[in-house]
Amino acid sequence: MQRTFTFLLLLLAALIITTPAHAESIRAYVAEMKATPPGDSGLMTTLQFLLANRLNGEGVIAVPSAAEADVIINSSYTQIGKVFSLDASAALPQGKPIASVYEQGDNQDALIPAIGKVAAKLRAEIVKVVAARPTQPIPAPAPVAVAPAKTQEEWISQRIEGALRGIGAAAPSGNGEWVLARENQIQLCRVEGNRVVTLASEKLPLRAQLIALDTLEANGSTLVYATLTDDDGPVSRIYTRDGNKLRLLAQDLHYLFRVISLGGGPRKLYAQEVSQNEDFYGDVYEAAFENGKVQLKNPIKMPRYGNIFNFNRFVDQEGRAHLIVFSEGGYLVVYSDQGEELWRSSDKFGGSETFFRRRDADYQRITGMQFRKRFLDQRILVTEKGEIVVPQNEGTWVIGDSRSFSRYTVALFTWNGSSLEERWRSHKIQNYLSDFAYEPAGRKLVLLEVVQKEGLLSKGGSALRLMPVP
Amino acid sequence: MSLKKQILAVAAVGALSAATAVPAMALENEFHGNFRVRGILSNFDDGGAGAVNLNGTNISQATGAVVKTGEPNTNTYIEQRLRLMYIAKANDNLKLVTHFEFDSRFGDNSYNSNNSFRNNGGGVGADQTNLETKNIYLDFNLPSTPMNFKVGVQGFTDAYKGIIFNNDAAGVVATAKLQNATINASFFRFDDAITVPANLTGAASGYLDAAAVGTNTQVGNLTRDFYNIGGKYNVSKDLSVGADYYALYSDVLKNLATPRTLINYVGANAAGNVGPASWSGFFLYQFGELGGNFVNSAANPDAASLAARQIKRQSVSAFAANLAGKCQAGPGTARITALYISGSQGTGGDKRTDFQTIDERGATTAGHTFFESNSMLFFRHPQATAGTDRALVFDLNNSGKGIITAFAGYDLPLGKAFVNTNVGIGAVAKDNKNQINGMSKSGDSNILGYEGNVEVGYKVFDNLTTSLQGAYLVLGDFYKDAAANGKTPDNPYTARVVVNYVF
Repeated sequence: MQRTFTFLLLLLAALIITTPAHAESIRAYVAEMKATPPGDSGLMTTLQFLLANRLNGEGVIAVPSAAEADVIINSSYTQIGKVFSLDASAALPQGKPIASVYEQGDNQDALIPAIGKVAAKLRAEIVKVVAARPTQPIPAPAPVAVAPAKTQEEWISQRIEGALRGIGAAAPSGNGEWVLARENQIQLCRVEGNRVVTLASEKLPLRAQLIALDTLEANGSTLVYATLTDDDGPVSRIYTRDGNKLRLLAQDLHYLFRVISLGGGPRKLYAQEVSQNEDFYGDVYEAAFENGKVQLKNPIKMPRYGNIFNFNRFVDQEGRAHLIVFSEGGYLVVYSDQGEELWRSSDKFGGSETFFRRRDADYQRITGMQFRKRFLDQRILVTEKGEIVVPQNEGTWVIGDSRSFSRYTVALFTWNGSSLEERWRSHKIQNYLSDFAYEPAGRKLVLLEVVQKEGLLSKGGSALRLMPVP
Repeated sequence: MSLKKQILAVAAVGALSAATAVPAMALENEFHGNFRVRGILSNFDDGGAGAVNLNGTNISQATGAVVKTGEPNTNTYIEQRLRLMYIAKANDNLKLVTHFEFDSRFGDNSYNSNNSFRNNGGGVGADQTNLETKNIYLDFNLPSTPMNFKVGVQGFTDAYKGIIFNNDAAGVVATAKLQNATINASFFRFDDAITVPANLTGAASGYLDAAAVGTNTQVGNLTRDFYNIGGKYNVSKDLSVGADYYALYSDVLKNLATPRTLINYVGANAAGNVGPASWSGFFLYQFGELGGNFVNSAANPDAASLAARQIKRQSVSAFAANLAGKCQAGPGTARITALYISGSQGTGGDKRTDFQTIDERGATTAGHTFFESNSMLFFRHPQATAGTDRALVFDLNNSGKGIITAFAGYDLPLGKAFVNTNVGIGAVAKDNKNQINGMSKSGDSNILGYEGNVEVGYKVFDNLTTSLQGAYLVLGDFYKDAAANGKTPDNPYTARVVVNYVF
């Protein structure tokens, strides 16, 4: 009965919150409510529904996913003895808090009225803060600034052995320490003088290959999210930095990981799953590694082409959030907050030689090989200023399932209200860019270049390049 | 308007809609390809295709004629295959897919001098007309809908691991993706031959008398068609379920006023993960009627003339089932798969219980596969070429005997190197005394044999893999003293060096 009731509630909630929003309404997403002590998940679902329902109206409309929202609502229910407290906070998609309210009561009869009061307080605060934000004038696009040659501030490391494919900063960011990865190895490195020195390295199992590497600062240390796949899906690992070593915390996790600064906000971990017949299954979730387990929350529904490796979000001058992804052909595609395609680039961007393998009966019929390749895309970076930064790999033999990139540039765009305007582009570099990171403090791109591809007898070589963004 | 015409009309309108409703963009050219060279040493592979004749040479499944008796010689030769795909992509919603094939054996022929065209061109001088067109089809999405259409000559793999159909054919495939569900409907025209009668199914083919079948003189009159409607639903990332209906309809014999053939397949399939293990399986039930089989009457069992033979319909009730699993084991993956294809005690009566399979025209090449076994000798191998495509059980109907088989394997990835090993067993489900593999009789046992094979490979580059393959099959007592010369045939073996480039 309880399940049926919960199902009906959720159905009703879905019907309500998917009602088209008024053009001037502020879209709010109510995330799953947390309970202390943990317990009745059905009650939390009901309270979440009630809060979303009561939040609707007078300039605020509840929406079903965080990706569509102008404001994210997080809430908690705490009960000590008979006394309870309902706490809720609202934040902009970039993470900036804008309101925090609470209500408490001394028995369960006061719970539903408390929900209404919390919703009313939140709505008032949200409308006041969000509506008060001045609409920024659309800036005239500046002429493209193309760096004709290597700037004075660029720094390039020595040749590092191995064709590296993943990079993440070792905490704290900007201290010159990096976690680098190749197909079957992760290494902790430090810049000493002009050289990149390896402090520690971890071999990965031969049955799997690393396809993505991300790092996130946690409690002053660094958590390393290594996305590994074998022939049956993800078998990812999480390491932590332990002094000058990497210590394995978890393995065989069936998630693809990526750390993204969504909309230029705080860097957060995201996860997506893989099913038996889909390369990227379901929504992308905000994730956290807690108590030895990966916890998922706040799903983001992907538009066409979107997956965990190729999306980001930016907010336009009118405060509307837009998802941006690479299409399967490598074009940048911008979607409206309603999921409509608004704009598509004329040039191809991104481009990666990294792939994971998927069993495919059709492919086997054609090629005789059991596995087809699913190539990843490059990261889409949105800076703290809302600029979009993407690399552009090029090559002479980039066709079908054969990819060999040989040079790249990096381009910076801003949204002019109707399309992306190119504002800056780096000089052309005669290497393949396998991955990159960003240091917001110094506005520097940390570019991981493959200077020599792996061969039959050669492990290949790589280099790090620090490039300032104007 | 007939149902078939309606389907085609809808497909044509769909294609036109897609072509006119999308914005114009510059055409993008996309190439894919696969080039494979195989060096072979074998008493099994002999540069030909079809069920192996254990007497040492090929046998026609249609006639059962044994060309030669004796122990097979060892064959050593090299062959190559190129498959080249060109895709003209108007945009992400519309593309034309073309796929071509060039096969030859080193030294086989050149300049079309042996009056053969396809599968030749490796002789000195080389110049040969040997381009084959595998696929030409339009692949488009209907704008603002979740619908995708593929219209034209295309590849199709069924949802039952290829045991129904895994081949190329002309047809229309519509697919709709709805959240976690995928729904598909397909229509294929397998045969609309003007002069040559089309065989119906593998099992039926041996009983067709080509001379007695009326010639199709009108396009669309005597056809063999294939229909499918089905779907798959992802219950979660760890569980998917599917259900399908397939139909093989053939009226190639209606000029003789005999019943038409309609074989129905109803199937369910599922796949899932449990911890480090995954499993998959299906059950297929088949029912319907085979039309136009010539059955010798009890009164005149050896009648040679048509007049003395009855033309009889046969009802079919058969099934196939599969269960497979794999699990991470140590540094590699352990696999197991089992397949049951029902057989029939006899194939000449009113009722048949042997699973009707689909063959290409002429019934000498199976239109289906069971690649999951990873067999190199029992069943067709995915790296077979038009030159060499041999198997002990080439057609899973197996002359109405069916098959019971199980294969287990272990895949060991070692970075760029890999070692894959497999062992398997096969037996007939029912021994109906129909001739197979050129044997003059069958032994007391239903066991066909035991196969062991191994592949050791190395990925030279991401796209280039080289490997050594070896396989040995110990024949079971089914073949004891069964060769045409009264002896037990030699155990088949093969050794192959394979270079495979995929882009």
